[in-house]
Amino acid sequence: MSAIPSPAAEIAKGLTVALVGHPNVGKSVLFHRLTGSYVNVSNYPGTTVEVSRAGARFDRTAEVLDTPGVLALPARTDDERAATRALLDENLRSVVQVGDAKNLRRTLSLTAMLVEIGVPMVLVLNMSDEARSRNVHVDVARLERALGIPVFATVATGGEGVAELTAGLARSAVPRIPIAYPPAVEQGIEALRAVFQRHGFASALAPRGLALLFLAEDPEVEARLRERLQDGFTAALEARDQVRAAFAEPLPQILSRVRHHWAESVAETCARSERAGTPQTALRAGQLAIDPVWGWPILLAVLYAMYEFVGVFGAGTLVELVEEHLFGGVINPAVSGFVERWSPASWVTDLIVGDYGLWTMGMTYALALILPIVTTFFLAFGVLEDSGYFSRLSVITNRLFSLIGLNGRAVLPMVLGLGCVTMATLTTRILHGQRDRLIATFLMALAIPCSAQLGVVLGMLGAVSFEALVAWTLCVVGVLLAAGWLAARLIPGRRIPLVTELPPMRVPVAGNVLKKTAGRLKWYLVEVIPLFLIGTFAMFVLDRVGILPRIIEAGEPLVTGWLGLPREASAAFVMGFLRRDFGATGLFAMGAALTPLQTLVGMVTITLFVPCIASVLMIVKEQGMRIAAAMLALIMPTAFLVGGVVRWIGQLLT
Amino acid sequence: MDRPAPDVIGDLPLTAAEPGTAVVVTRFGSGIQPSQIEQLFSYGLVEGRVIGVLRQRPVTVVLIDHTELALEPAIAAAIGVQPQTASTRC
Repeated sequence: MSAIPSPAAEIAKGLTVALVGHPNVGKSVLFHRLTGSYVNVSNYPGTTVEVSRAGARFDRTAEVLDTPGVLALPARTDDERAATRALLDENLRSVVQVGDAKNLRRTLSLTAMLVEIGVPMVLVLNMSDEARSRNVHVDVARLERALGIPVFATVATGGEGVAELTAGLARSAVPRIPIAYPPAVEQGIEALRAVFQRHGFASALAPRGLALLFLAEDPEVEARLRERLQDGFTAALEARDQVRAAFAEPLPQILSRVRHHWAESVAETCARSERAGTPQTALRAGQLAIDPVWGWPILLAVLYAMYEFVGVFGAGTLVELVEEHLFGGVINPAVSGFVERWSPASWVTDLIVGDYGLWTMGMTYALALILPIVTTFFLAFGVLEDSGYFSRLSVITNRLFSLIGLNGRAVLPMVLGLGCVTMATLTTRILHGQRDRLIATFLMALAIPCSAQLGVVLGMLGAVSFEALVAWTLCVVGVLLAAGWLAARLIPGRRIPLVTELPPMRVPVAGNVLKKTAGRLKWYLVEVIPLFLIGTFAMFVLDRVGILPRIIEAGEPLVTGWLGLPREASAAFVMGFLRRDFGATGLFAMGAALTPLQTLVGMVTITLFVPCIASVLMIVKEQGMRIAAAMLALIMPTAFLVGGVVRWIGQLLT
Repeated sequence: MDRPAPDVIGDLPLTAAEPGTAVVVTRFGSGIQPSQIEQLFSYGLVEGRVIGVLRQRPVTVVLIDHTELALEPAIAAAIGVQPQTASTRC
């Protein structure tokens, strides 16, 4: 991978080619074709939305930027805002709009906005094979004439048309297409142009495009104008208000409708669709997955397969192989021997290979216990994602999520949370609306165990009895639903009904799945290993200076008196704050010292206990310090309260 | 894209359309928030568009060109449609 860290000098010469388009149109595959790069995910300034950037294969001086998929411009989501920022901030040589050849009207409705920004562009109609198989025929030459820009039909997965695209990029052209908006809008555009001119506002984008985005309330453009126009911003707002006053409907809808009608008129002359051609097998498979009767058995089968792969193979076979045989049998004895031989002092030995050693605890945990579990989880997650099943899952779980004030889209972060709650907290951005993100984040922090913790919990409770496992599941799901039900009623705002695209069901492409898994693993390891080491170091220091015993003592009334656990369990809760699975494993280490009821109480409490430091930091980043503090203040008492109630009920029943 | 003119019979909510039929979108009711209307527009669900109705349970699923879109009943009920009796194209 030849990543170019966007050197300012090159960007100034306009060497960046930006891929822009709807989600699921094959932009990332095309990015790979153009750069040879699979993953080069970097955080875009001011956000963590993923924007990939790499050197171009076809021109050593150029770089290619893969922007997040956009439903439409003006921006309404974080992904769309990142795409707008790329258009505003990069000095672009060319915009490559990647569209779905079989959905030409929809593709052109985005073109209608891009043609206004005054940047040289080309249009790529990707997935042309799918269009052909559905009997959709696009007259590319005619479309080129209609748009005044080069148009290429490609099949990025097979490389078809990519050579023509790279050769034709030099012909990128600024479209000159008259898209006529209503007179009041045109007057508003002129008024805004005058404001820009009067206040000396200049941008790489055309004033007309900027004016249209501002009229449509694009938040990025609005922020930019507010910052740059200063006093003139009031005049810009007045110009927009005047246009608004001419219509009964919201202005963004008026503008969007004009673009759709334009797209429709172009599509009608340049494409023809011979009868319905959607492949019936894919359509039927997709429909079956959301069928009220068949959908649930299919879901159970998927969950079972996932359990077998992640729970049995990943957390069982692989962990045993890596943790016991590789680390326990080979690596750790060698590291311990080496350190003990060369260490200058006994405390250094303890720091590296002691009970709370950076290697024996921190690295062994991260690499031997967690890595096999999250690897298998992310692989399974990638397969489901690439197959198109997740969107169907959001449909069949929609009713369940409506009970907790969310819609089915929340299933994706929730399931991802079973892998890594920190990453899933970031993924709540796919939810529309702050209220949904808040509820989902809270519920994940409270009651969704990450894969590492889940592995430990399943291992411990599995050893107790199947009934204990069922009791734990009922407790955690019960708390999740009850807390969600309450949150939905207490947090102001309306629930957003489900609207989601169902991408075609297809056999997952191994390369795609591996690429996504590698990206997630890299992210996970970069985030997790330092935290593991910090956590282990904190435990080492607490133990060394004698604070750990005091914490154990301080927590005794709660842990021993209320939860009925041995006093040493307090240490597990301290560890649990560093990482939840750390805490669970702390209890695991007590093993035989716990009765079955104590094991259940401990596992329920530690599952509901505060999320790990990394998750807390992510919550602070996404929701702010105040909300994160409020969540912790709710979660900790809830965990101990539920744990105590479980103990009480357990004692009554036994 | 070749499309016959819709044959207007009457106005009904999308939730009342029979699966397997094609309908023309006629209006968006006040039950849908403006931001969601924008979202529907971006999928190509605009007034005058002919869409195929694939199913009504557990949610309404429509086909817009070759895009399958799932809509919760609360949204689908607020979308006015007219049945299209001429040959369908979705």
